[in-house]
Amino acid sequence: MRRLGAATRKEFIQFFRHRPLIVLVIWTIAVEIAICAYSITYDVTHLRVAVQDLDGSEASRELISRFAHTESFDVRYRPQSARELEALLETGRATIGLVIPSDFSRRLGEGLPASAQLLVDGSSSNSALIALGHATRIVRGYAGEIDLDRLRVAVGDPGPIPTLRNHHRAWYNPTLRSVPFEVVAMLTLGVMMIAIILPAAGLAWEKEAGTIEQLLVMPFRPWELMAAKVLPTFGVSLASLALALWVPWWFEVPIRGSLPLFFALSAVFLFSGLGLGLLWGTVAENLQQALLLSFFTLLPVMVVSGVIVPVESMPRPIQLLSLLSPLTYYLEIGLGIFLKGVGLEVLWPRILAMGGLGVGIFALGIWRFGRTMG
Amino acid sequence: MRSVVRLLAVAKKEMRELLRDPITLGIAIVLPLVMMFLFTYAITLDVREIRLAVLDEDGSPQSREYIDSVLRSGYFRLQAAVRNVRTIERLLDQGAVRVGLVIPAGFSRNLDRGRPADVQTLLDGSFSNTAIIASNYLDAITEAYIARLQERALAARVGGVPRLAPAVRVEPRVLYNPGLRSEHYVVPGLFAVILMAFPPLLTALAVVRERERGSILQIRISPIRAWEFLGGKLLPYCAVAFLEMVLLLAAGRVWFAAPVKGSVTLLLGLSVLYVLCTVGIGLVVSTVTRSQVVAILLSIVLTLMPAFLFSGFLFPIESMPAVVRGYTYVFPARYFMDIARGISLKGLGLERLWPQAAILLAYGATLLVVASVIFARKRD
Repeated sequence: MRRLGAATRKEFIQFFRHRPLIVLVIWTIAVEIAICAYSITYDVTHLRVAVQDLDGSEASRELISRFAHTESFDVRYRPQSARELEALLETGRATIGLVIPSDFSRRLGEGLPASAQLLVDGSSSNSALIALGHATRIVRGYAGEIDLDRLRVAVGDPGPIPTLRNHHRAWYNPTLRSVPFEVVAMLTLGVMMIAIILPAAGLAWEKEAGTIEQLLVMPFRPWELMAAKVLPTFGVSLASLALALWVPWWFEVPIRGSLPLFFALSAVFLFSGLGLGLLWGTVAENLQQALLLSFFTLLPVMVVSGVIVPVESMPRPIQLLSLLSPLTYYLEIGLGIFLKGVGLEVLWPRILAMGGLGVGIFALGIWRFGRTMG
Repeated sequence: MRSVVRLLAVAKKEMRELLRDPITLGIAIVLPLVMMFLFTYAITLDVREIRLAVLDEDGSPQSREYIDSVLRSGYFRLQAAVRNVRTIERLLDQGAVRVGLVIPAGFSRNLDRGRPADVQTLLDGSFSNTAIIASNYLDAITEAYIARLQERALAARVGGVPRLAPAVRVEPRVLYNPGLRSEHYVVPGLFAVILMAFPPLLTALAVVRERERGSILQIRISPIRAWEFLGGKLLPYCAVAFLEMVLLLAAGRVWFAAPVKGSVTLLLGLSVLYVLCTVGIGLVVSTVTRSQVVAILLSIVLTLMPAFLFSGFLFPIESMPAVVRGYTYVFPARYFMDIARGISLKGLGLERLWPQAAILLAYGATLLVVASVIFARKRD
């Protein structure tokens, strides 16, 4: 026990000697989270529209004003020619182009189908598809009103027409802000990053500096060495998580469930991260390899866990991979506790899965550690 | 001339060191390809198979028709048909479904009498993106359903209204990527992200490693100048990064059949400028820091995260707040994103892309000057 204490103290001293490191760790997990939460969204808003109105009538202006009056679009450019419009889309200054042909109002007046052309920059991102959907709906809505008027003229008042109202209600997040999701996702990601990188880097560092031999000839047992490597990271991860809680507070992300439960489950989650860190620390021969290997795991784990795109929409094989990622469960647990306010009674299957994976990965790390250090 | 000789000597030494560590080199080359495969397969354009729970309290042909039209859209997968709202509540809590659809009793009666009928959609707002997309899908499906409903009702009432063509037809045209295939824009986007992810990580250690080992003192007492030393350090990493670019380009074309409509030579040529920037950032980080771990963490903050988040790769820059939009101009990734997508998808040439190219050139050159000045002033 005394030996363990001594080894742990050494690790702590080593850690706190790198003050820039601490600042950076906090920066990475807190400030980047803040910037993300502030800015990252899949909601498509303020897309720049270039409108070429060849008709210049009241009807065409009415249609254009419908675009101007939504959050989704900013009518920014009025190109005078097709070439100018093309240049705007090519250089990416406009994402969507609306062309109203010169016979627009004339055809509307004569009761003939008029047309409106929508040009979308398909290279920019998935926003193209969403933008096209929004734009189409605006034009349809405009057309629908005219249709109904025409019908009234044609057949007189048809009396009450059946219709359907679909009332959306978003639970846990009534205004459907993307901030809460981003904040929780980045918190979980930050925890994972620290948990993998610190032990991996610490071990590889000692190897490179040659001090690992000194540790091995000392009267430490392998498990004591390992615990000493792991415990400070464990503490630092939970401490930085606690520090990072200012972000949800700042962005008014509710914490509806139990915060102690979240910390307890974060501790469970840390086992998988620490296990991977130990594993890579023993495999790598120098710091560079350790860090590259950490990334080798971090990035794919991030991709398959639903942090970036929902797991449901991925192809089947990748969905199966996501079941093997502890982060998938931790993200769901985090959202469950923060936003849904649920507890053990609902989360237990995910906790079991996450704990099982954690124990497995951690055991693998210890086994490698025991083999290389014993 | 002497400068070049000295510079090349450093480059040779650095290259040897790089080659002596096959694991690092292997990871540096294999990892980008793995990333490309994962990203391209995982990131699909639209959200599909959203898990849905349905509560049909009406149980009429009309309600079944409506549910059917929701399921047939292909965007939703029926996970559970439930008997009461409580169950939907529980399923949403568990995350077993993301959307619940409730059709109250009286749905068909209202429709038959020509009154507005109501349905309710319950969304899991914690996964806000999925929720937003799902509610958009449902709105579109509902609109189409209403159109059919009204048409039928009117036809019955007035005895067959001649079907009127819609007043305005929308003619959508998707430019540059007509099939809206996600791999076509993900692959060129990944050029910008991956080149910013791995080469700086390698370079970030180039100088600080010597500082930690103490071998930097030998450099200090040798007649080599700062810029010669740093230039020599830079060359091998530029070569590795360029090799990565070539591999990514080849994998994208062969495996994903991602087109390059413009000139491949131009793309590779401009990627050299970009590589100069990415490796240059790593070099500046390396000259500033005193320990390797700090160097790595700092380069992640400066390269990987911004390249991923603030380059327009997945998240539209226009939709970001003004301050963050300004922030995106600080990092070179967004310029190369324009170049990579411009050449690959739009077939643009230098006449359109010269501003971005000029910025990258200036950016890279500035980085080298800054690194040299810092290195020359810093005491070890």
